[in-house]
Amino acid sequence: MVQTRLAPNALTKPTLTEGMCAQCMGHRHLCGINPCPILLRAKSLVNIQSAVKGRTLFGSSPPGVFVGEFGYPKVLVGPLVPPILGDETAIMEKPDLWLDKTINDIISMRFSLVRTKAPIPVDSVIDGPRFLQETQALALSERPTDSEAVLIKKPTFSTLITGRTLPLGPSAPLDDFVLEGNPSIPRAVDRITSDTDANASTGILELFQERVSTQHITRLFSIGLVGEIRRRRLVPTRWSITAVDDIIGKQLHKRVLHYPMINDYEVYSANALGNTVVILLLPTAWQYEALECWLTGANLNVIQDDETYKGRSTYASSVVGAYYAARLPILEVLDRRRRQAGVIAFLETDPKIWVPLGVWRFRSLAKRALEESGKKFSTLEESLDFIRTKLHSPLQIWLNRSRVYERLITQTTLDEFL
Amino acid sequence: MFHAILDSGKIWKQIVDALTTILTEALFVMKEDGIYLRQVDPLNIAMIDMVLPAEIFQEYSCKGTHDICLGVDELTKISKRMAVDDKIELSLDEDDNRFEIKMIGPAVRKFKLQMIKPLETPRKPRGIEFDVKAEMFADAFKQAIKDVSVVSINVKIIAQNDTLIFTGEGDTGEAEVALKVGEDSALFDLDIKTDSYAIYPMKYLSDIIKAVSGDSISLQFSTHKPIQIGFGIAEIGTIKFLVAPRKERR
Repeated sequence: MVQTRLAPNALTKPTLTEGMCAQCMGHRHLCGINPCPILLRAKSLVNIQSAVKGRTLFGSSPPGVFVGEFGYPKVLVGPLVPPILGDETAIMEKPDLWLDKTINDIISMRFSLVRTKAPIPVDSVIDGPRFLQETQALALSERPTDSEAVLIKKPTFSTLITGRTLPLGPSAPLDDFVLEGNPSIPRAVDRITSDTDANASTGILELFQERVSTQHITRLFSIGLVGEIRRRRLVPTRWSITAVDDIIGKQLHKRVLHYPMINDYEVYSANALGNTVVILLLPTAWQYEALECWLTGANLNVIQDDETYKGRSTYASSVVGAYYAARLPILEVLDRRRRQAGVIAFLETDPKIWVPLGVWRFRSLAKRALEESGKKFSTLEESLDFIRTKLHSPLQIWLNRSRVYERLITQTTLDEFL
Repeated sequence: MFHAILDSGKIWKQIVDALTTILTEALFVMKEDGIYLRQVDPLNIAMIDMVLPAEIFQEYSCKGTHDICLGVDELTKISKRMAVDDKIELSLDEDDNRFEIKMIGPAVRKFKLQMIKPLETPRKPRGIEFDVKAEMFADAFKQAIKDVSVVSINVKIIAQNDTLIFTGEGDTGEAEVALKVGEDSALFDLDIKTDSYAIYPMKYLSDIIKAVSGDSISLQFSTHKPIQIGFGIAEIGTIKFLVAPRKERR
């Protein structure tokens, strides 16, 4: 019999060291416990064998594609196909709508998507094999599209939770893939992906301006449909998510620098699925800091990355994808308000509730936080007192790590001397 | 009307390098006797004060005063296209509101930059009195800052007796660089009115040292007051940075 629920006592004694989960996110085995207890719980929730039967998989892809990074520059690529037909599958690729679902819902939903895979060099995106062309046609669509995948083997469950991508379920080597339905391609997507002279950044920015969802842009970018024709590549999904967040963020950053500063300290917060995001806007020029903390017992560790008004030229190597995912909605809101501000983003995760399901949660939570009317304060102290009530860990450990906070309280300005 | 010719692309590169340290947009003021730029960074922590007298240009003519504001990113991109032995010709296209940079080498290359609306007006010059004045080799200063940056995000500068000390401490340890004034020393002049010390943000200093082009620099500071880092450019031009101090934390 297939076990679908994990025995409750398997998680009672996690020997997780502080801060480790934040950096490991279930796939680097930093704590030495193999398999990762967090992953184990995720795995236990889905009954794979009964989900897919036979070698032919017929269903409506949300649409979804996945490009692996292992073996780069020869990677595993394929569409994500659920054994389900109908428009309801759309939600499987729309994390924006997941915040109010339970973690179990999300996992079982995602894990019913079969990740098909076939090896292909990243630079063979133009006139590639038929399965790739069909997958590209699928990626263009904004709505679920009926499709048929012929598998070489039955799907097996080798969990691939990367912490950054959406969770992925069982996978199977792909023999062939054809679209049965017509993909519905938005006019803007068709126009921009047919532009074979503009470079990828330009394409991504145009798509963003046409209000194409970030998920959709990432999908197009990773399957090699954006950019100058000779430079188009397959981009591993994990990289493409952050690349898209960063490319759009950089552009917005440039614009935000020209706006006047806000006048007060503003605090926004949102909480869902064991994650809390608190955003503090400061009446300064643009500077951004992401602080991330996993609530793993008594010794809490906060990791941080920051940038000043000049932006950053190196990768945010501590907070990684979450840094860029949280920065984007903040810049979007500042751009919409035509205001400039300094920002400290507090990203808190409770691993007792959360399983690593991707950085989308910080993007979505930051978006949700900023949609609601925040609270305004006239001093930094007042705003920090309010933040204290929103976080589950002591504020001081966050502030001790914060470079921006340190700058706020210790750095004088030239006005005091001139 | 504004028109100027620089014999060497190198000098223009050095100017642009200095601007990139703290600015996102550069507001040049072209006057009849030279080009001036005095601006504070967006966080109001550092100021750059640049004077390029007309004499450093091989040809210089300017009628009236022109404020020319350009994006620093764009300037950097263009200066990357420049060869060091290119002759640089700068001019202003007033009708089109564009600033023209012409590189004359084996080929004549012309770039036109859209001028932008400045966010602020140029700062007025204000004199600050300093208690410590030091003259030293630029390299020695660069090394001292780099040494301290290994461990710390701030640098504390102490001047006492005949010694200038750069120190810093961080989570991982401490660093200290001491320079004694003397004939053979990298520190060849130190004038102290009263013993002084102050802490400055490493981020700014390490950006600034990248832009130092001369052989020697002058440092001026006082206890808990800004530091001025000055150096020459093209012999008679000057670039001065002023950086606000940090308070000691508790």
